[in-house]
Amino acid sequence: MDLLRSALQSLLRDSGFSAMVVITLALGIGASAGIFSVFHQILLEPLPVHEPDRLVNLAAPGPRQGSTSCGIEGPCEMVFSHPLFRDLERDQQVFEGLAAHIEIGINVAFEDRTAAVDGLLVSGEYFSALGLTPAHGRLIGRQDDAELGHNRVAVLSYSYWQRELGGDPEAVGSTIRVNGQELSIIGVAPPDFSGTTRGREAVVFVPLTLRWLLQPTSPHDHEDRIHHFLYLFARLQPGMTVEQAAAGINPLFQAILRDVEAPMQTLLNEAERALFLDREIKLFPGARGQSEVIFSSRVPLMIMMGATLVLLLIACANVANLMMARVMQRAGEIAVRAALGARRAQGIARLVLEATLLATAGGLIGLLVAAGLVQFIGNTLLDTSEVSGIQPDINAAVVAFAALLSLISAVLCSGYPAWRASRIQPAAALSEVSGRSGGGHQAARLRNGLVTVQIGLSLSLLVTAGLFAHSLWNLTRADAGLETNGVLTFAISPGRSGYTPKAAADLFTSLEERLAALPSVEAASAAQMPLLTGFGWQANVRIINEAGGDAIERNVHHNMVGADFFATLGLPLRAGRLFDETDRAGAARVAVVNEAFVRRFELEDGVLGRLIDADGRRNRALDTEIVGIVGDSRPRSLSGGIEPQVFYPWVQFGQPTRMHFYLRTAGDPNQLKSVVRSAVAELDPHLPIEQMDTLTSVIRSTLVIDRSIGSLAGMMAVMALVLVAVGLYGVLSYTLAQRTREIGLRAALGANALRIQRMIAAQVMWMVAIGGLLGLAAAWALARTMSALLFELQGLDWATALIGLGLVTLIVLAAAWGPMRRAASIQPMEALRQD
Amino acid sequence: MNESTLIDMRNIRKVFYTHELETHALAGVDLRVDRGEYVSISGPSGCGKSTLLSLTGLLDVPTEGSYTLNGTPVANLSANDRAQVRNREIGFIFQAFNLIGDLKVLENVEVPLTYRPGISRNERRERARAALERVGMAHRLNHYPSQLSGGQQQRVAVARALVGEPSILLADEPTGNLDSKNGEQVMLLLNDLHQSGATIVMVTHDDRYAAFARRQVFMFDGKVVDEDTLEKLREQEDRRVRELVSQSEQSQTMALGS
Repeated sequence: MDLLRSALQSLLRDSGFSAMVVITLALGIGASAGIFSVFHQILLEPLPVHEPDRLVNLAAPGPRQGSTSCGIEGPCEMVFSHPLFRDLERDQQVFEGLAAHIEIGINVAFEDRTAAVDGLLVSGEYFSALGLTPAHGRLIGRQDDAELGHNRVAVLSYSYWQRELGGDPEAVGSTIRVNGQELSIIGVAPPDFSGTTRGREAVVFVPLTLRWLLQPTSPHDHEDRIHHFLYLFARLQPGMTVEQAAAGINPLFQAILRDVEAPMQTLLNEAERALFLDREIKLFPGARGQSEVIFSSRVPLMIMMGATLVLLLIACANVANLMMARVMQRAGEIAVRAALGARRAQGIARLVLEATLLATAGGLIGLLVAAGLVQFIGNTLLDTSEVSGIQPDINAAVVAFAALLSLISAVLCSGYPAWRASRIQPAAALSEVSGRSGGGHQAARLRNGLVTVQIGLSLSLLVTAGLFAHSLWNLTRADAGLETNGVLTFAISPGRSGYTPKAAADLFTSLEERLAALPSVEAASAAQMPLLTGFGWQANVRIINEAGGDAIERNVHHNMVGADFFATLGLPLRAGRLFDETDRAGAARVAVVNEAFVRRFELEDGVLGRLIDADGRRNRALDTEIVGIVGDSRPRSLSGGIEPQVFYPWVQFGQPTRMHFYLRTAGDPNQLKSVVRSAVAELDPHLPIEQMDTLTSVIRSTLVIDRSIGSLAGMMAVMALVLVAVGLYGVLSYTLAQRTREIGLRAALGANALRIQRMIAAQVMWMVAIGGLLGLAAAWALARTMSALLFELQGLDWATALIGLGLVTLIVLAAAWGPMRRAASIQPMEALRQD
Repeated sequence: MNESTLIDMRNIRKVFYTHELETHALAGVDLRVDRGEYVSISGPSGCGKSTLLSLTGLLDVPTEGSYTLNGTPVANLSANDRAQVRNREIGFIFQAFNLIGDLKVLENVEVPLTYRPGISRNERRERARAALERVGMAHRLNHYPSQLSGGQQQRVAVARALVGEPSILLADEPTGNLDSKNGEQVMLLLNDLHQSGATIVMVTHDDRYAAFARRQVFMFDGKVVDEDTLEKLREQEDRRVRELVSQSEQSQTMALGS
């Protein structure tokens, strides 16, 4: 207790030093804990299910014929066809449970309340494989998933039940309307559980067998082995390893491939067929569920986590330098204590205790910093992104992380100073003139080394932030190939409100006409696929080539659009014609392709008039004529590339139940919102309008991750630079105090003010040079790691790096300016009198 | 002033101002030193001898008076010009050696040459090495000062003072931090240097070492005095101290008696 009291008193006496250390550590620990909160929730936190470590996700990479629908649940190689899943579900003996799921957007109505929410189609073993027990009623079981469209039941999420139904137990047994279908509520999922997909908060769970009931226009692919859309996971038997499970399931999987599916792969060549038969199921850890968010956010989050830890390292280096200086200033006191009988361990313990107290205070205040950062991230990143259900907060894990960082910081900051203090020889220290003990060459080298490392780390952070800023700049200047200004967009989903496909098509036609007739609207068109939102529709296209055979192209982007689509979005006609009023339903089918399509098929000699089949998985007739070629554009996102595209008149193809609309105006597109609402309401006052915004805003929102990473990295870099400037100033001031006599001597020997300033500047520039090299090397490595996140930047962008280096140099010199001036004003007489 | 005159100081005054206090450290000093002379300045503590040496070495500027060094008036030079003159004309030897702890012996000796433009690194090295040989320290080129004895450190300091081939060596209590054996060796070294033509001005309070010089200058209360006057002043001072002691003893006896 005496030691604690003494340490506290010492820190309170030296309040300036203590405040500086606490604030510095609070910034470092707080930033790290704030980012960790997001990092933990997305990448580390397991699902709230029984023994999550026994869950595995299934994937079967390799070539396969047909179409693939993949979403936020994970990469496309992780989806399986419905019949294949049913085969595995029925015959497998390896797993304790095997389940499938796929998200579904639904309109849910209970009593008089209607809402558009996220739902989840789940197979019969979904809940049992997760080991969940209901909060109320029962959960979906195998019996509910046995027959297509038969068991019209639903399970509500606990939060939805509480929020919308007031936690009423009587709700179980009542009915709820989902996409216009009456379903019986059979139970409520346990609290905190909102599905197995991070970034999606499912509020209604329905059996997979209801997919074709709730989505009447979805392909009738329940028996289709070349339409892959289901995500699978399984629970391992107790004690079973992942390897054992993979070895157990693959004989069954490969038998199905060989005996059932291989004969259907008619469009694969021999090499592809061999690879198809070699496919095997891979098992991946499933404790955190299945989510594309985990994949897509891993690198950005790791970069941000790394950036904050670098910031903490810089903070620790600063604190270590401060503590080092303090130890050396207290060398006399330490020597006196030693002379009076204090043991070496006591001296070390006292310093470590002081550091621990300061780090604890830094950690506590750091939690406030973390809370602010979490709020900032929540407001800027998560609120404006497509993900939901991710709400980072300061929970026990974050507090534990902050405590761990505090402990590590205490050790990092006090380790070397404590060791130095323990090496102070009482006799030597007591014989030295007070305040002149600088700790020798080793301590000076360490102090300079720490600042050099800080310069390097801050430069790497600054360059990283600069690269993100440069990437964002490139993105904002990227040519989408479309005229995005002056365009308003929105979507409607009549299919979710009980419209039949025919009624929905009539509605779309009427709406297109009404929108085009609105005053100040120059052009209007529907499009099945939204533009520049990250979504895409890939499908195969067959086209007759010169030799008369088939050419298969797997990567063609499709869209079904209205006649005025090209005028509305400013896609220029290069050859042929655009769609017109003659391209009606029932008329000869036509398509327009872009220039990239022509290049991909190597049809520069002539593509107009060629016949294609938009659905290359079947041997259907080649009945669609290419009538026009338009300019290239980026269909998915600014960061996505130019893709080969084919456009069809939506009235000739399919029967979409959801459609996006685009309107061009010469004025402010926001001014159109009210008239658009009126136009839709005139057709159906109960039809919700979704995602109404200007196209430029839509594009901006897709850049939210780039902007957030850039701004967070920028914040870290600025904080790092401030810490470096403060650290360097402190080190130089301390060094100057130690070297006053030397500098005075140099002045006596003939060094003028300029010489002395140059000497200090040279010392600083050496630190900048070495730190700069370290920082550029680190930035180069980082740039390679993050290259996938950077748009139109190949590795390290040297212009950004040099600007960063210049900025760091300027800030370092600014921090050194005061000490340099003081050094130059040292009078030799004064300095040499310090005996 | 003839051509052999190296230092010519006239009516030099130095007043230090601290708050409302004026301290007259030098009260009108005249000093002339010819080339090749070996002069010692001695006197009791606080007499102004170190201040005079600082002014001689251009480490400080006089409040009043004229100072000509090697034919050039230097009393009113700017700080930068004084630095240049110091570098070319003066070699310092300090009581506390004042070697730079972070530099090796050879590097310490090179320091004055680094402030002189046009000297290559190799030449600096050669001249520093030669200076160290001259003082018998060539075998310690790569040692740090902390690895040397006090006497060795002072030899290195002498080498540093010599390396720039200055017009004059100024030594401020060069034996003050040394034991008698090392002190004598340093004095012998200075003597050798004088024999080979160096001009030396040395401040010391030790009569034994002052005797090494060919000419002795005595100072008392900020003024230069001759030896006889100094003896008289010292006797007066001693008498006054004895009287003070006697008065003090008497007053104590009276206090005890009452």
